[in-house]
Amino acid sequence: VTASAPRGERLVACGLLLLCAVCCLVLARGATALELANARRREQLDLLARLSACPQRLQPGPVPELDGLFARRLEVLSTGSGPCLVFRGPASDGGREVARR
Amino acid sequence: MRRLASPVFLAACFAAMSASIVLARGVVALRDARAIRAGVELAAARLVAEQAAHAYVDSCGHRACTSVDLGHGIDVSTSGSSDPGSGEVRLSTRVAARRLEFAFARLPGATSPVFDLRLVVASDAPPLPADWPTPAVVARDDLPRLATAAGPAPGPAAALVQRDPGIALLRLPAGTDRDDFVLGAGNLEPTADAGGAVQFVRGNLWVDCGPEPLRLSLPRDLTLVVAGNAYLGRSIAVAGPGRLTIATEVADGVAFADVDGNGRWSAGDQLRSDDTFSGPMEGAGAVYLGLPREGAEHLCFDVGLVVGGELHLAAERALVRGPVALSFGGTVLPGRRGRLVVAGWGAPLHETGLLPGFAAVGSPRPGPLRLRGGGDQPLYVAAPTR
Repeated sequence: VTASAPRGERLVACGLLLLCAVCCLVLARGATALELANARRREQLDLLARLSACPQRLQPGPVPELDGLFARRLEVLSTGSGPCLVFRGPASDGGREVARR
Repeated sequence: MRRLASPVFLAACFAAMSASIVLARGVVALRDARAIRAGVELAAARLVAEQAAHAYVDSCGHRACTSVDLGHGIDVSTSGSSDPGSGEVRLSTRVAARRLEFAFARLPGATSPVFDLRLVVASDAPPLPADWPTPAVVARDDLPRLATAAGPAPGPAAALVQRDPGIALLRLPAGTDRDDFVLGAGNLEPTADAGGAVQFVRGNLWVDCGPEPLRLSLPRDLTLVVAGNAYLGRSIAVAGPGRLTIATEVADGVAFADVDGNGRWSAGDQLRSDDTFSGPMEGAGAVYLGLPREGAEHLCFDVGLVVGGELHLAAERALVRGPVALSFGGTVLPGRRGRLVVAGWGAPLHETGLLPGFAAVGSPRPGPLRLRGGGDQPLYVAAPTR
């Protein structure tokens, strides 16, 4: 801010910069959080693709590494026709599973 | 000029620039998130479809409809129906606003786990040569069994297998008693369902010797069932996703170890059964890696071998890139170093459907799930480059 500018104009400029800095900070934090969440989900999707490619090698039990990808937990279940990745428990926002004939 | 030097103007420019940078980052992240959301929906649909496929097969088709609420606004419902035309089961899946259709085959069981091993030998077989890898030992009943008797001629790979009455006399001093067929280079025709093919060879199968490998292009799995001996004189290179398996069976003769390497039953050879020798003089079910009289330095075979008789090695070194299952054992022909290396197929076979021509083991199961219509989509859309 040039020193020769009137005082009022300098104050307005400083206020504008401060407001901009706060807004940018908030936006940057949101973007960073979203980027981190994206990276984690991408890794989880990669892991899920690898697990789905060879289900016979899976050990029965929950897969905690995939928690958060869906609102329900994923678990390896031994079925009559071999191991299978299934959703377990209710969805965190009240989901349900219905099987009908 | 004075306006350009105004602090408010400069601050506004700086603020706009900073905000643009941060906003651009946010927009890219949001676009990434949308693409990942589509990937998550597709992954959810595939998972629920897999689950539904298992439920469908386990319940013999009674449990055909499933609905799973995964939260976060992702609701997946599937409906299964048998397609009488192809024999496959179709799963219509709805996820969010998308409608996807998967299909799978009902397999009678899994491929024998023996194919996931490298070198396997029957428990009552004699010891293998010292320079061969240590084998896995299984009960004779656990060795892979052929599923079907000889099918209708000419078979799906008939163009690759041609009768040749002269090859045996050219390569063996006394020829052979059976009909002889030569495996030639070429392509196996693809089919819409990508199912494997079985070609029956009613006689001996030959791959003549030569400096260049025999090249085959296989868009799907091919099993050659040989009712005789297999003489593999040079390397075999297979291109494509398909795998080549050669299975020999002791159909009309007796298996023996060709100790003297003359290609026929003679004094000093070792019978591999309690019977007296009978049938074709070249025996039955044997596989020769390298021709008995020609030999070879280094051979490399992109094949899996299920040897119903004796495996004979007539090369200094042979690499088999598929699994090798031996019913009776192996013999190194005289004058050869006879080092055998078996790599095995990397991916477990029982995850990729049934190997054609072989009996299934275990309970019925769904085959690999295929996304119909849209083809095989990636699990999630790749993130845009920044």
